[in-house]
Amino acid sequence: MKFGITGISKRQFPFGLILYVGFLGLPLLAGLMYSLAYSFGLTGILSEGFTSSHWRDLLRDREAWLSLGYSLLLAVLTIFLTLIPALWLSWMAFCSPRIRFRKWLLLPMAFPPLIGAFAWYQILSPSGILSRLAYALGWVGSLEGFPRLVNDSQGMGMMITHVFLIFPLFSFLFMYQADKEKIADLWSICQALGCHRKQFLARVFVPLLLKKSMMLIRLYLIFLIGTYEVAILLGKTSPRVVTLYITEKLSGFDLEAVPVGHAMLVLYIILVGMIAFGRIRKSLSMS
Amino acid sequence: MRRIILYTVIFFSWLPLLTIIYLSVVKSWVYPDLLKAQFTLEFWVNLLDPGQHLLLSFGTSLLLALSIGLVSTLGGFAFSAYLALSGRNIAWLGLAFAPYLIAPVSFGALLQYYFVRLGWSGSVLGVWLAQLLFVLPYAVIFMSTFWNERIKGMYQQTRLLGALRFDTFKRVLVPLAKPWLLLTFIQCFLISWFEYGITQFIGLGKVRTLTMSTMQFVREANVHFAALASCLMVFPMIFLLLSGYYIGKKRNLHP
Amino acid sequence: MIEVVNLKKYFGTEQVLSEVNFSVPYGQTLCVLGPSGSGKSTLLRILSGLEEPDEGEFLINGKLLNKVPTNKRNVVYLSQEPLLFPHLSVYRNLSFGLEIRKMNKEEINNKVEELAQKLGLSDHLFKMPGQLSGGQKQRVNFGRALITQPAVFLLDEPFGSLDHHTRADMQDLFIELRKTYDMTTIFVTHDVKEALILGDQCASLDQAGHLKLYKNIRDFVEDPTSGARKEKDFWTNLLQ
Repeated sequence: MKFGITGISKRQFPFGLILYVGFLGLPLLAGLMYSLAYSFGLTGILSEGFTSSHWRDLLRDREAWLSLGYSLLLAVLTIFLTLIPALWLSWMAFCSPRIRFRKWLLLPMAFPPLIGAFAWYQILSPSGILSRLAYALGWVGSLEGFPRLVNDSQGMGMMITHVFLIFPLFSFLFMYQADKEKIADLWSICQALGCHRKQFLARVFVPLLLKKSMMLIRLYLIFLIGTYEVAILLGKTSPRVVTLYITEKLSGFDLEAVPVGHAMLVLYIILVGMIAFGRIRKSLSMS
Repeated sequence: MRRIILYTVIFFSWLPLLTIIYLSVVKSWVYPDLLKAQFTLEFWVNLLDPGQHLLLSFGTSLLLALSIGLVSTLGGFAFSAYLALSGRNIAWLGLAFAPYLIAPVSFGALLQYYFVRLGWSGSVLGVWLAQLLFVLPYAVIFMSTFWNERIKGMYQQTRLLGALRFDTFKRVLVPLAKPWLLLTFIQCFLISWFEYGITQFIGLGKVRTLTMSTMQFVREANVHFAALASCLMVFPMIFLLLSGYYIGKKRNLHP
Repeated sequence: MIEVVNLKKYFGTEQVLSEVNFSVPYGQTLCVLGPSGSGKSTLLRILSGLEEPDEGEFLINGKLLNKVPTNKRNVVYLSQEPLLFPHLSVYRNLSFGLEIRKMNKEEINNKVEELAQKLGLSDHLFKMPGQLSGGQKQRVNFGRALITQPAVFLLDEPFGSLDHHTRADMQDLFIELRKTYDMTTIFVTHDVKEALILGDQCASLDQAGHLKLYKNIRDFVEDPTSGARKEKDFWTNLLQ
């Protein structure tokens, strides 16, 4: 018989575990089962019994693959663009500890994605603040002269907004990791070994912080793949991000598209689950 | 050069706040004017106009976020304590990572069918429950960082000194966990306060939280009211974040 | 009187304790030596109720304790790390066990002050644990346990993290407290000398989880596996 540290036998009725699974796992599982059943034609308004045609429709739909690929690409680019200022700021905090700037970076964390997207729309749109500034400086002569930064295929507005929303978090994380890993001591050792500042940055500082933060980087990658509010305001109809693809199929007037939407929902959950859960289980087992 | 880049980054962080404040206090802001606009407080004064429903949305969001913050913090503490003290496999904690993976809007879409069947969709209670199911796992994850080996050892020591489980929690664990409980509450409050996707799917447009109202103003191209609603969303958060920052900074979180 | 009968413990397929049998008379100390991973801590955790044995019995004064919950065993388990409550003063740490037993304030005060004097903590009563040295923390840890008058003390290398001088001081204190309070103790240590100084009886646990109980100190010193002979030879050779 195995005991926990409370001395409670594991053979006793696992009431706590049932509650835990009931609150944290069951709703998700039940929802997933419903979507799975819907995608195979087992339920829904137009249901005519089991069929794999909706899945075939999904797999043949170019838009579906485009939205998955587009979401993934935007997420990867955004993470890359976020890591640059975050690493720079943590390096700056290490090199110039007397410059106090941390609390000035807290502000974006007070912004919900929706409000961030709205504010950046007002800054980046053709009639926005940057466009007016460019006009005042004589760089452009009209609305049309200003480059398209919102609702554009490159997703510039979305990326800028996401970088704004998450770079402070990564900056704080890196600064914390640098303290935790005793980076100043490592710098002393590297100096004793004849290392220059740039070598230390490239060979120790950046790789160490990235490695230690890899779990959170992956989680944020997944978070960015699931972006929604920002995409509504700053994204484009085509290509569109995966959450917009799903909601449009589920909430649209075309009832035949609903099972395809459910199939995409299941596919999206399986994909992010596969990306993340292997890592999380590994990290948990290591801890 | 270093300072110039730093100030640019800080300006980048502050520009959206300055933008929404500016847009909430001007009107007749016509292209290509940059700063030439008519200063007015009429949007802020209109806040009290019952026709705008903004104060009601603010109240609904506040009520949801406060109650969800409180319930999920307590639930997170209880579940994390259970996982840490019952000697269950740490892999069970993996279940709590699910909302990190699934976008809130997808979570709402997954729950929608059951909430409609149970008659809970379109109601504040339904939105409350759906948000709670989404926020609770976050609370479990935040609180699980409290239960290190030292705290578990202290729990054992207290029990060995003859304390009942209730006494152990009341006299030792809850006082030690106070900063965690507060930070978890702030985090959960923030998630609920920021939430849009679940409310959209479960609330069916009938539950007007502040995010729902903001989105409506944006869709109606009502820029100045959208900016005002944005200020209402962001200001309390700045206060909460600064409180959380100072709590985290001043307290040595682990004994 | 402690009695342990045929105690067995497995972790998976690995046997950690194999038919462990011993008894410790009232007021005496049994010192248990053994290499790391030999199950010394597991033995103490089982006796304190933090783990359950796969087989065997544990009795105090004839009362079977196997199914008695940790908080009702009247047994105290102290480890190397003092684990004081960081949010409570030294006074409140010492009085904790009495407070949860709802004893009246005056009585608590008398007991705490009396004990603090014996432990040399009278000047530190209103300090917080963070302001104490390692030795002082361990004194508070002992005091916190002593005040509840437990039937048995289970000490898991309690002086392991202390420096040489503080360790010697604490050993003297332990001998004094044992006399004053008639402590019945099982004391796990790595240190042969400590076992010889503090133990009325000595035992050793090997990697297979077998416990060897020595009839007397000579037996213990003469056994090549106990490590005592090696220690004795070292000093003899050094002086020659």
